[in-house]
Amino acid sequence: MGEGGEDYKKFSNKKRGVEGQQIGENGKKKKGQVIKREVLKKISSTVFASIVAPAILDEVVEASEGRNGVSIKLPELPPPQPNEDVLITMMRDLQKALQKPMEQRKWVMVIDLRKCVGCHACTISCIAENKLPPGVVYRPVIEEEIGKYPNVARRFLPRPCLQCENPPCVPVCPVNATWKRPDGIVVVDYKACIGCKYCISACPYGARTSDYGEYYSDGTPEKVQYEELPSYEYHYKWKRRKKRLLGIILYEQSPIGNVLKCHFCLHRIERGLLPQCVTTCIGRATFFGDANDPESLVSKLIAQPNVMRLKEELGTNPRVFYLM
Amino acid sequence: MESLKIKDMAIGLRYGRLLLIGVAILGAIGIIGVIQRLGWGHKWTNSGSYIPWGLWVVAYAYFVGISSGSFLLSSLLTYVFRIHVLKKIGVAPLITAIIALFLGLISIWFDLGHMERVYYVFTRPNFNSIMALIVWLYTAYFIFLILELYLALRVAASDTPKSPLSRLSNERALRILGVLASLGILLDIAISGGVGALFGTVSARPMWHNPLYPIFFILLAMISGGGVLMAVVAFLYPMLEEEREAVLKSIGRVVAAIMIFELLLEWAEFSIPMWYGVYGEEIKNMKLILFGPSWWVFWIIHLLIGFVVSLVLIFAGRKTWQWGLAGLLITLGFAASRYYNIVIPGLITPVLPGLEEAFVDHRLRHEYVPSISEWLVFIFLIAVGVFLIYIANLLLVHGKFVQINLKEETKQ
Repeated sequence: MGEGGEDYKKFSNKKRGVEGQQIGENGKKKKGQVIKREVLKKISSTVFASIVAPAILDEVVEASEGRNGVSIKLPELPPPQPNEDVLITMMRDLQKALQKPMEQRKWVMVIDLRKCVGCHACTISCIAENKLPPGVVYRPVIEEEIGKYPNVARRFLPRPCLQCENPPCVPVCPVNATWKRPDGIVVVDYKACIGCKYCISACPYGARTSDYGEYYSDGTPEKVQYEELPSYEYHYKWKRRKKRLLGIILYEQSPIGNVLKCHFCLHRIERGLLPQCVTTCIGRATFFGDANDPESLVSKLIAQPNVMRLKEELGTNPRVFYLM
Repeated sequence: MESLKIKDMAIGLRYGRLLLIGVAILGAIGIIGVIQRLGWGHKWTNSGSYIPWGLWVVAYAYFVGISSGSFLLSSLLTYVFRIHVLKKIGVAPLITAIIALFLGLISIWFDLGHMERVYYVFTRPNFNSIMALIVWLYTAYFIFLILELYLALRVAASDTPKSPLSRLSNERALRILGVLASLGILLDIAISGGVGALFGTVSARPMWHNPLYPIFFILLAMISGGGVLMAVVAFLYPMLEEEREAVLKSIGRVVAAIMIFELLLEWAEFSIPMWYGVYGEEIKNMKLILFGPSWWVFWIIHLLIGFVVSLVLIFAGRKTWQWGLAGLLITLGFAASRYYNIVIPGLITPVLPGLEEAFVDHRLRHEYVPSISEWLVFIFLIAVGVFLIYIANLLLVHGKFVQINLKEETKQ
């Protein structure tokens, strides 16, 4: 099985992850609890740090194993400056939000459709971050062509999980394997999901997908090592393996066989890093932050009149907003 | 043991060896699909993340429908509408219900991503979920069926001198069976309607999100279960030939009436949203059913073979095999195609247009045709079902448990 047991226990406990907030909310630097400080200090650019963080996250997660209430060293940020990169502004908002208890935060994402150029970098970086197998995609970018040649326009619609306030995918789960956290993120307990896929049918946005146990390199002469790497979703080291006996699958280790979905890169945001799709957006079209903080960038953006949400008529109350 | 007159044996029992060979061939072919499922997981299935449910979910709804429907129909006709001739088929609906429930649960078990975690539905259930609720109801239903079968066999044992089962007096038995039958009718309605609610409550799928779905599924259950009962009575159940005809006529006419009513509801289901052709998400799904690549499922299998041909056989038929064939056409034609046309087209229209092209992968498609492997599992389950029903009926004739309905004829 994977590793990172203590953090995952906190995530999946009956309190619906309330204890999980302990990570990151205590900013005090205690001896022995500050994780890989030197590594992060060496990285001068905060933006760069957030991009390469997944590479060192392996060490971060392992270092936090077995400790209750461990505090995480958040990336150090430069002092506020006029005209600073919005990524730094958002990271500052993020760190501010992490100082509060989980139930007082409300994570939202804002996507400015006018700025999206349809480069699909967010899709790819998400796949790289979460080691998504074939058939699983958390943030596709839907391309829409409007009009007829020669009067043609194109529009791009990135679609992460909308983390609905009233998620239709949650109550259908027969085993309580999915729920909405107090901070607004809808999560899946990979160790509890039985793979019935009822929640996939129930999602009106197609935001849930299933891991069919396949690899991109299936059918090729060599299995690419990259595909064997573990993912770190929900602060846990997930290794995709199949246990066999005489060729018969005894069981497939999660996340194989599970339903998977975008979780706003929970494992990153609780360590003070922005979701990977936000960090890699070349047009700075995706924003992330705490809607409960009126001073945050996202709060200001969603207060604008040109905001829309997908399928509002369903009453799902999505936490992803689009700027038109 | 008293010998039986050959004419009272059903065709299937008389030609048992042939039937067994057929079942063995189907089972041998079908088991390849089972091995593929167990050995390679979902690798050989054609479902994906955008169409997460395929043939095995259709099979689940179908088999569970047969299970609840066969028992519901026979209980309603026997105890509520007092068609006494149906008492002659004794435990046939019970046997059919138990075996079909078993097949349905196997089918949905194969569809799970984590088969080994199936018991979580009992250890950490979410009773707000229709799925969890109906799994618990299946468990109650299964226990109920076993209890009912045990009691029914004990009653029948009073006519069978060598039966190892202790006898039960008729008065006491009738009292217990009466209470159980009313409980059974409620359970049947809850289960068959519950499968309808499983789909109907999903607001994300406009075609499914229909308040009439539980009603459709109760009717479909009785149609598919009634069809199977007709086939079992015609081909497998040991009983007097005159009684067989009477039973087949009764069930046949009732099933025909329910089919006509179901088709009326279908007309309403399709015509109301489509009449003016004004935009409605469910119209896309309905157009797919009627005029899409699988149009023949609706027009040929569902309407022509399942409905028209079987109605002709029911009302113009003179021989028991014709009614038996009608039963098969009803269950495999009319009912199975309807289940298929509910589950698959309900999922086939993208929830967001352009999703399929946004990220291209063979598991992220909005097209679905069952794979050979999926069909093989379905064939395997059918073969297992026929085999078990055959064996159960064989036991009733040649076994020591009971000998039913043949008393007068078999005395020599």
